[in-house]
Amino acid sequence: MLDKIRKMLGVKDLPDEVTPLYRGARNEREALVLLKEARRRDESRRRRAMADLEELDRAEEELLEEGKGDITEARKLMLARRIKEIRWKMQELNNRIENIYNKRLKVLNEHVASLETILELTSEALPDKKTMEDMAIKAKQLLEDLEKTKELAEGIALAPETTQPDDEEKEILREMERPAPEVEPVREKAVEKKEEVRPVKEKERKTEAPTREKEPPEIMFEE
Amino acid sequence: MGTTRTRKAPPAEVDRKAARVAEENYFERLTANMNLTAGLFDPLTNRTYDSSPRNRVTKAVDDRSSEVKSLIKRFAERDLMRAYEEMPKNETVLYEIVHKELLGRPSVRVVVAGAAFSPVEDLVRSGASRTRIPASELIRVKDQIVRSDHVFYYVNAFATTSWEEDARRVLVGNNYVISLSDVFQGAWRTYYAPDPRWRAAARIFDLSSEEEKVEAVRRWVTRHTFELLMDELTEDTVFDALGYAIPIIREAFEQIAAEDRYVRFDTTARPYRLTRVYG
Repeated sequence: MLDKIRKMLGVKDLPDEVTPLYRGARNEREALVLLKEARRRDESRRRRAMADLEELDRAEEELLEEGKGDITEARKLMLARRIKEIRWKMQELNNRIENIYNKRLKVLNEHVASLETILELTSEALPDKKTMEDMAIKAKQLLEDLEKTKELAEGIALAPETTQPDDEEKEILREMERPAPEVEPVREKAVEKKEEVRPVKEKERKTEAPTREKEPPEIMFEE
Repeated sequence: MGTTRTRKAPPAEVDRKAARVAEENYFERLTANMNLTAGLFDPLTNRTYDSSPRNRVTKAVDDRSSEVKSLIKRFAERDLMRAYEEMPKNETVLYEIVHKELLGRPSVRVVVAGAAFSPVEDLVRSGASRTRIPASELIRVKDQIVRSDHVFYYVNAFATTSWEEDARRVLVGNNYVISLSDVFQGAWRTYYAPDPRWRAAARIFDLSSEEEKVEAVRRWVTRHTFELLMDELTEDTVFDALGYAIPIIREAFEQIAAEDRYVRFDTTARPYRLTRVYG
């Protein structure tokens, strides 16, 4: 049983707190019952210990209050001894809660949760062969349907791209391609724009040249 | 090693009605016990006398109820009659055991007396009290009961609150022994003056049944978790608190340990005790 639990939980070693419980169980379900029972017992012990701690705490407080009052030194010493005893007891109880109950409860909680999960998973029975075949066929059909749907969806997406323009549309397209009459200035502007990237001096020189040619000569020869 | 136990339970507060009810209960129980008594030992003559009803004279001494009346007149402001009805009366009942020799007149040989005590003044003034009854009050009443040197007196004094420590020092005389009773946390308890003359007469003043005692011990243990945690819940502690016989206390301890998985009856050393275990 221990090996089985180890494999199921995927652990190398089991803690000492749960080993005897697993050893005493005949199957996982019984182990879970034992774990839960152990957890319930420990929770009850822990509650009892906590209640006892409160009782001791109350007693300590009472004695401390009494010690603050106007009493003899001998009485004070007696109270101090009593308080010391109470604190020892409280320390003992605290250690018990921390080192035994809390620790054990943590381990038990973990194992209960793990076993519950495992049992839940394994509790679902596998379907018979026929059902599995039917399901496989259905799955295949669904896959095929999915494939078809995918193709159809792709087809719908491609259709507008392949559609040929009709005559009217062709005419419009041709119109679009025909050069506009105001193409020239557009070109000049384009050239100018290209030239803007050149050095400024060169640009100035080049722009000056045509203006000189267009200007009338300074000496006019009369005929 | 000396103990560091420091706490002593404070006396419970008793109001008029509770005191009155306790007093009535006391006399009922005393009468019941008296009716069960067949004979009484007289330490003065070393003889046991028949105490059946035909040899018994019952007297209710009402002297102290007049004290209650006068206190009510003095301190109560209104509803005097109602206050009187509510109040305990501090009654005394005497059972005189009469014996007649072959020749001569019948004479009283033994007297069994029961007297109730309440802090009347407190009850009249404030309606409730925690005041313990002191030895002086007990002596005063004892003197009213013990009148003849030739008669032996078994006296039980019942306090509706409780007794001062000094009361335990005045319980024995040449021709009398006194026991002190009270009700502590619902348990009837009786303290007997240590004296060999008690013999079977002590049973008359044992005011609760065995079942009641076991139940009282169980209740006491439930209320004393601290002592349990400190490993101080011994049969002696319970004996000091309730005055019950050790076998009864052990019986109760056994029952508690059987029912409570966190309590163990430790009989490995004397005195036997209950201890806390966590399993």
